[in-house]
Amino acid sequence: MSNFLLRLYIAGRSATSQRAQSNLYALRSLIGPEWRVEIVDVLSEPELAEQAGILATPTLSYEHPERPRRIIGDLSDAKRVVEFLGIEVKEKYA
Amino acid sequence: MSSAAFPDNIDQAEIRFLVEKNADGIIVVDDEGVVLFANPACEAMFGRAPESLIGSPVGIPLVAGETTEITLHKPGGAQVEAEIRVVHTNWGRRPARLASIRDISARKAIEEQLRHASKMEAIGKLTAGIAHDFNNLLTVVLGNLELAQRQNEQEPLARILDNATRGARRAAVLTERLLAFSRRKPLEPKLINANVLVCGMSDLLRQTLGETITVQTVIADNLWPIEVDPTELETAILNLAVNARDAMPKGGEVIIETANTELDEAFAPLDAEVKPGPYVLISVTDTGTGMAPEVLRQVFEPFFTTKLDGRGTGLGLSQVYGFVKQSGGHVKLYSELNRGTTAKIYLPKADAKMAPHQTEYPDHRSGRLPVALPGEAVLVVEDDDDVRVYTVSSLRNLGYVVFEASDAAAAVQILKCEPSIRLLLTDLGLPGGMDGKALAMRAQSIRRDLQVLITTAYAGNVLIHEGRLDRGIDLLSKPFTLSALANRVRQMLDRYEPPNRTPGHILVVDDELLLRMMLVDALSDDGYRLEEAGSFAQALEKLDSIGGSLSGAVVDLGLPDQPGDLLVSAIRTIKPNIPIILTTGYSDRDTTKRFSADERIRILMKPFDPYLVVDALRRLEGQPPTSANLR
Repeated sequence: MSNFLLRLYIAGRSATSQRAQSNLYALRSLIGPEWRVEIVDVLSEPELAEQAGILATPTLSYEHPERPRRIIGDLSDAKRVVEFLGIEVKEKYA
Repeated sequence: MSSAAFPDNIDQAEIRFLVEKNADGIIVVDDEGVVLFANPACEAMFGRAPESLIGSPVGIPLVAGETTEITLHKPGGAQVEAEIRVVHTNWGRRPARLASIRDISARKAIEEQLRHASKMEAIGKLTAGIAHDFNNLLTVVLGNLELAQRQNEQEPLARILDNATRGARRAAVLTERLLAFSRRKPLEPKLINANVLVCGMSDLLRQTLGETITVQTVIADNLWPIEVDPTELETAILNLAVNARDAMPKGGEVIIETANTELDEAFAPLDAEVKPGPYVLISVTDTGTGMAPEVLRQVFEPFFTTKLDGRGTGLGLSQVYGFVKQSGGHVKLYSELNRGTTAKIYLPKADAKMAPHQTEYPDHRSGRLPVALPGEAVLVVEDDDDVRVYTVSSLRNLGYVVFEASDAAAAVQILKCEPSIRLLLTDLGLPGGMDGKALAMRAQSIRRDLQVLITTAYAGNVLIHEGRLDRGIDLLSKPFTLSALANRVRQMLDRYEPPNRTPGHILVVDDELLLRMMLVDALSDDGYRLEEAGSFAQALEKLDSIGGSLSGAVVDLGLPDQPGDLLVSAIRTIKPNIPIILTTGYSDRDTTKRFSADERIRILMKPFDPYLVVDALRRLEGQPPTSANLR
C-alpha cells in the first residue's frame, strides 16, 4: 500500500500552495484510485518537513522504498509529473 | 557555450567566478533530484551553507513555461519567496538540471500591499455607493416619520413612530460609518494638539473601559500640531480603546502614547499611500489576546468582526482606517497572539506656517461669558446634589431663571406647569426608570420647541455614534466648565429665531421624487411658497419664470444632468444673496471648501430631517446670531 502514496508538502494558504493542491487532485484522475494523497503543511507540521529534509514548497514526494522521487513546483504539467515519478499512466484513466 | 560569448582570453576560472558571484542562486541537480552543486548565493536563500546542500534530495524542479514560484524554507521557519527557471545541462558528463533561483520576497510584499490597497479602495467605492443610495432612502424614511410624528396626536401611535424613527436613525449611523470608512465623510479639520485631546479623553476612557482596565497616558513633550477633525480623532481613539477592552475580558492595561516621528523612505514603500515626512504618532496598546495574522489582514474591512453575539458592527476599525486615510495619515496594527495589540495612528504634522502660537481646542474660549436675556428660564435635572447645586447656581449667576428637579418624573411635572421654560438641562443617567434621553423625548413631546442639553460623565461620543441625538438635543460632557456651560446654553437658546417673518418663495431641486415631496411638505408646513424641479434643466426654466421673486433654494448637489454647483452659480447670478441649502449624499472636504466663501450657503448631509432644512433656511434668512460666542 505504501507504494501508492504521494505526499505534497505545502506552506499555508499561499497561492502556489493552493495551485499545487488543485493540480494534484486533477492529476489523480490520470493515475487511478489506488493512489493515496497526503497533504503536509510545513507551517503547521514543521517537524515532518524537517525529518523529510524539505527545503522548498510545493514539493511532491513519492515515498517509494527503493527509489523515492521528489518534484518541486506547482505540478501544472501533469503528464511530466507522472512521467518523472515513473508512474504508469493507466490507459482507462488517460 | 558558444565561443562567441567567451573570447579566448577568458579562462575557466573566470567563468566559474561568474557563477560564484551571481546574485541569483544556482543549483544543479541530477536525475534523482539530488543536489550536485550550489553557488554561494544559495546560502542566503536556503539558510544553509552551499556545501551542506550538496547531496540533499531536494527534488527535480519542474517548470511549465518559463518560470515558476516556490517558497524556500530556512531552518528555524523563515521563508523566502523565489522564482525559478530551469535548463537542461550536463554535470560530470551526466544529464542534469540547472535551476536559477531569484529571491522575490520584496517584490511579492509590495505586490501584496498594492493588492490589499486596491482591494480596500474597491470596497471603499462600493461602500460609498451603497451608503449614498441608502442615505437618500433614509432621508425619505426619517423625514416622513418626522412629518407623521408632527401631525399625530395619538399616544400609542407616537410610540410606534418613535420606535420606527429610532431604527431608521441607527441605520443612518451605520451609513455614516460606512461613509467614514470610504473617506467620504465631511471632516472639519482643526489645528489641534493631540496631547490636549488625549488628556481630555482620559476620564471618558476610564469610564468606558471599566474598573478592571488601567489606562496609562504617555505624553510627548513639544508635540507637533496636527490638523484633523478632533471629533473623529476622539472617535478613532475610542474605537481602538473599546477593541482593547474587548480583547481583555479579564482586565489589563491600555497605554495611550503620543510622539513626534519621521516616516522615512524605508517605511514608506511598505504602503504605496504613505508619504515620507514628519508625523505625529498616537498609539494605543493593550495587553490582551492579540490577533492571528489572518485576522490582522482583514480587520480594517467593513463588517469584519471577531466579536461574538452581535456585540460588534465590524465598523469600528473601518472608521479608524477611513478617518486616518482621509486625513492624509497612516494606520498600522501590530499584534501577537496572547501578548497584545498596538495600533499606531500616524497623522501628518501640520504646516508650521499655519500653526498659530496657541493651538485651538473647543471649550477653551476666553473672554466674557454670554449671559441670559431677561426672563429666560431653564430646568436643571440632576440626581447628584452637588452637581445640581453647582449647575443651578452657575446658571442663576448668569441671569437665568432656574427650576430644578432630581428625577425625570418631577421634571415632567415642572415642565407641564412652567411654560416659560425654554431649555432643559438634564443628566443622562437619572434614577427611576427614565433616563435623560427618555426625558428629553418626553419633554419634547410636551413642548415641541424645547431645547434639550444632556450632560453626561461618560461615553458622550459613544452615545452620539450609537444613536444619533434628536433635533434640538445637544450633549455637554462632564465635567464642564462654567464657560462651556454658559456658551452652550446661550448657543442653544439662540437657535430659535424671533417670530414675525414672512416666509418666501423657495425652489426645491432634487431628482429623487420622494425626497422632493417630503421637503415640499415640510417647507409648506412652515408657510413657504414652493417651486419644484427634478433636474438642472427644469430648475433653469423655473428660474427664468419666477427668478425675480425667489427667496431661497434647496439644491441637491448630485443632479442627473448637470452638477448642482452649476445651478448654484446660475442662482447666484440672479440672486446673489438668497439663502441656498445644498444637500448631498456624500461630501468631501472639497465640497465644503468650494462653498466656504459663500456665507449664505449651508451644506446638509443626507439623510437629513426635513425640519433641519427648514431651520437652516430660517437661520440663513433670519437675524444674525445675537451672541458673539456663536460658531
